[in-house]
Amino acid sequence: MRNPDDKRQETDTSIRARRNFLKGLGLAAGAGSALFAGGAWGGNSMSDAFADFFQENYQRMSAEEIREAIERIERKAKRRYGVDIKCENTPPQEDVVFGYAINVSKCRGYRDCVHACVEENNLGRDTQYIRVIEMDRDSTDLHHGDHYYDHGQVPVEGKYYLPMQCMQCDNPPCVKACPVQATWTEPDGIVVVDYDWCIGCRYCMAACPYQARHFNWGAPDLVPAQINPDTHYLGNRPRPKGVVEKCHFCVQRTRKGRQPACQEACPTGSRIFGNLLDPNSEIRYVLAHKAVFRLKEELGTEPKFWYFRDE
Amino acid sequence: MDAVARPFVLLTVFCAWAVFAASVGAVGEPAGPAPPGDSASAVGVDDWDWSAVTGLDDAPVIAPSSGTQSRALSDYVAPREIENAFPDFDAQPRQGYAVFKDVPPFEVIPSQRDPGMHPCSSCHQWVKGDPSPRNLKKPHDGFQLSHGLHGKGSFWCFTCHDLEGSGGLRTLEGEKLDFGDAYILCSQCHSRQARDWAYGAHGKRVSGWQGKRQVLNCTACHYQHRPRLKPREPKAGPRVRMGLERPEHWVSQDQRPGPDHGVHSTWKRARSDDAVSGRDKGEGSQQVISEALVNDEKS
Amino acid sequence: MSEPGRNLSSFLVSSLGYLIRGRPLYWAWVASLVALILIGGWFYVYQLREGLVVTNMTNQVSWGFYIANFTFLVGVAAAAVMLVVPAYIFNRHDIKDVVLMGDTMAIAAVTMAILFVVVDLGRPDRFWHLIPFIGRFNFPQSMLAWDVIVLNGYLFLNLGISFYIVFNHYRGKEPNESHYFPWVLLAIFWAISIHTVTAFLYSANTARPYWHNALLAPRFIASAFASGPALMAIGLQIIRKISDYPIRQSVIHHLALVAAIALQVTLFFLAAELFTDFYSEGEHSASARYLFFGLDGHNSLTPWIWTAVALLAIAMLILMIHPLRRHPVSMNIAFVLTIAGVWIEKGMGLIVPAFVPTPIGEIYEYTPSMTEVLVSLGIWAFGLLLFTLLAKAALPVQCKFLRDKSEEGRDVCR
Repeated sequence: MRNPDDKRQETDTSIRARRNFLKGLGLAAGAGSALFAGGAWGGNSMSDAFADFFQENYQRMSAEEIREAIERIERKAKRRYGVDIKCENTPPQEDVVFGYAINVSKCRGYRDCVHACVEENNLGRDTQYIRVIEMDRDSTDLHHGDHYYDHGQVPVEGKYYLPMQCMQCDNPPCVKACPVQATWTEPDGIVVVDYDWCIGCRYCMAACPYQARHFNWGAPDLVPAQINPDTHYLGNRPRPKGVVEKCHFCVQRTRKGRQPACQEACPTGSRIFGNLLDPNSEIRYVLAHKAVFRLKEELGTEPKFWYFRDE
Repeated sequence: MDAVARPFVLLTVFCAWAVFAASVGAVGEPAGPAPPGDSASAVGVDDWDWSAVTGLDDAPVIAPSSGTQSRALSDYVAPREIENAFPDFDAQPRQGYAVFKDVPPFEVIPSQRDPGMHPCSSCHQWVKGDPSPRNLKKPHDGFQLSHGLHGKGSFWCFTCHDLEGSGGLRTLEGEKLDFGDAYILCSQCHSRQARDWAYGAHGKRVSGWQGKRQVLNCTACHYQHRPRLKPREPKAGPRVRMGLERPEHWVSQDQRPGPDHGVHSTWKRARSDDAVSGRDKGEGSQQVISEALVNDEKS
Repeated sequence: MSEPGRNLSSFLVSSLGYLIRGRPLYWAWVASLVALILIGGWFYVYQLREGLVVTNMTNQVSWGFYIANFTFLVGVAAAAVMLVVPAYIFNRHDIKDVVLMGDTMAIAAVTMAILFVVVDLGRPDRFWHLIPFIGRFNFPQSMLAWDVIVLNGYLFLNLGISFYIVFNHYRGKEPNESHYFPWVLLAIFWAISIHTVTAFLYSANTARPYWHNALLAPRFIASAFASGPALMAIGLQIIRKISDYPIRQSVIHHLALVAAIALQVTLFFLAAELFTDFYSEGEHSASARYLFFGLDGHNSLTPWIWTAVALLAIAMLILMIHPLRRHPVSMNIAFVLTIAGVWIEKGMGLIVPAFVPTPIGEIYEYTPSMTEVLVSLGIWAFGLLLFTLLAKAALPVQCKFLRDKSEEGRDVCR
């Protein structure tokens, strides 16, 4: 649930008052600048740039405001990349909390998941949400893992492969760290980022024990022809520079019942994704019958990302 | 500054800040399409080659969906298989039989290599076959059976295939099996994997996480006559942040001298020594242990 | 008694008057600072246009030179309390005369710290998201939210107290102690809190074992009380040289004594840290090993940290030996060494090693880019300019007040 422990009760009137204030400012600025509308603002029209500036946090926007924000995102993508994208705001499903499990016996280090994710989620060339680490067979020591293996053939004898991505913790240190509440846990368990609210302080990156969060140091280097047009506001829509992003369990897919891109791409079937609240799901079977473990469990982050071996 | 002018001054200052900030936020993003990336980073969705998984040219090539489009069932079958498929063959997913109790219902996508008529019977409907286990000579010697290490020689074609009739599948007790139910046959010996597969901890689910569970059958990944998976080349590794050079040490640990982690060990030498020629270096119990390491890595 | 015709506008006008009247040395100083500020500003605009990609920070080392300077400066700001406590609590009148300078330095330091955070932000245009109630402020969960409150609060507190004192002196009145003493008391606790909160910002992260220890906040305070007084002492001696304002040597000696003790505590804490990390070394100490001895052949920070330790040790020895502490040359050398040593140890030596190796074992080194260095120099120049202008405007007022107040007709501030 959204901030169930949040004791700051915002009354309807104060929310309305704030919304009206910002809307008024935005309207005033927009009206005044409508005369200057054009593509001069780095691919944004001036009215869009103003509206962007005054845009609220996703958690506080009304449905109408979200719709307007999404339209701005679609317009911006059209101007910047020449691509028609469809940005949605699919809400979380009821009685669904997502979990993920990786069968470490089966992962062979292909990195197919890494690249499927890059394409699905419109990542810049130098960003990868998933990092596959080659580990020694008799060790779980991440400090001795190899991130840059490029053998001719994998798997290599004596090694196993550990894919790591955002663990979607139940007790996320990044959510605690963010000073503007630009990142929070959605009801379906996904820790999301509002890219239009993030101020880019990178405190969440310092707080994450899994190195799961990535910063757009420059504008993401996207190839327009490869842009995936099916996007979600909290997911894979094109992001601006100067904000943090991370794996979001392909929220544009999973909220519609589809598998995340990494699960679909994996040829070995080592990735198991599903609803933790469904007792008949595959993930629940794995958690009940396999010797599952999580990384850095001693930190108390309660990741929803498990690993297991066959035997 | 009097009380009347102050709000206007503040408003002006605020508007000036808003203009500045909006420009800062907007400027800097590329106004047009980004320049095309180099080909190394443009990963194609369709460059799958599943024959590399099984190592045989005539192995089934079933490409799982990746990328953004939702795939039709026909996408799971390589075009040449569809050409060869028998016209009355139905590739629709079929209800999985429960080989274990209380398995939630699921559907299996049968292997496309399940023709009504097995190639064996094209000759052996007239020629009687010799049922004794042996190495096959002409005209069979092109065919390699590499399945099952137990009891060398006692596990061969007719363990799984029907000697009489069309050469279809049979259980160990002699019951005939449909090719589409091949997983029942596999589960006779591989019960642990079969149980995991039935419940979802093994194998590939090709439907969404929600809704009807559709899985690939065993032979989609494990070619039944040579099930061991072949290694293949991995895709490209991490890239360095734009604007910076890739650090020199960003190569695989195999390719650069690293710290000797066994240096504190009282019983273990550096692993490469032991694995290759442990016998010379080992003495007494040391030798036993290094042999154990060698044997471990072979299995 | 208060003089007629003196109100806020005349105060501002006369302050401006003091600012535009100065010797050539003053103008040369201001001009060089403005030049540095403009250069820094130019490179900051470049950074705004291109994004933080013009720095050398990476996903692996996501905080660098900017945050290193920020950490050091928050310590300097906190140490202004070292003048306030003896002035008001122990009623040392010699120090009371220079409390204003301490507050001014605190203002400049906190402003610089805030500026360093702003230039480090990926989206500074969205900083309104940080304003409570208008934005969405994650208080009290986020330590960064706490830091925003305490830093801005400290800035306004010091501005308020300093302005109150100077304005009253401008009007020829002795400020009413009962009015502003509670605020001074608050400022004392607030000064400790800004640096503790900054330390908590780091030590809260279980993901970074190098920071996640209880000793971090005490280390911060100890090194702040070494570097702050050192900087203040140098600043006061410069003011004494170029202006008529009476600053007694006892004030400088007080600051040197504080720095001496603080240095001892700092080095003791450092020794405790080294012992705990290296006696039974596990992976917990990987960052400390990277910093002090190098890790897997990567050791770009190792010479820096050992230099810093040597500087601090030498400074401590000088300040511990009475004759050396009293002698202005050796004392000032010790001050300079202290500032340099703490800047290295608490700046880059604190921020960067926490990111090497990353929590999942990757090693990526970091040195600041030219853009980062020039923007940082610009901010330092801004702080120095702010301090100069505030001092330039306030000191004549103080002088005149002291002169008018002196009973023996002493000629202070000729």
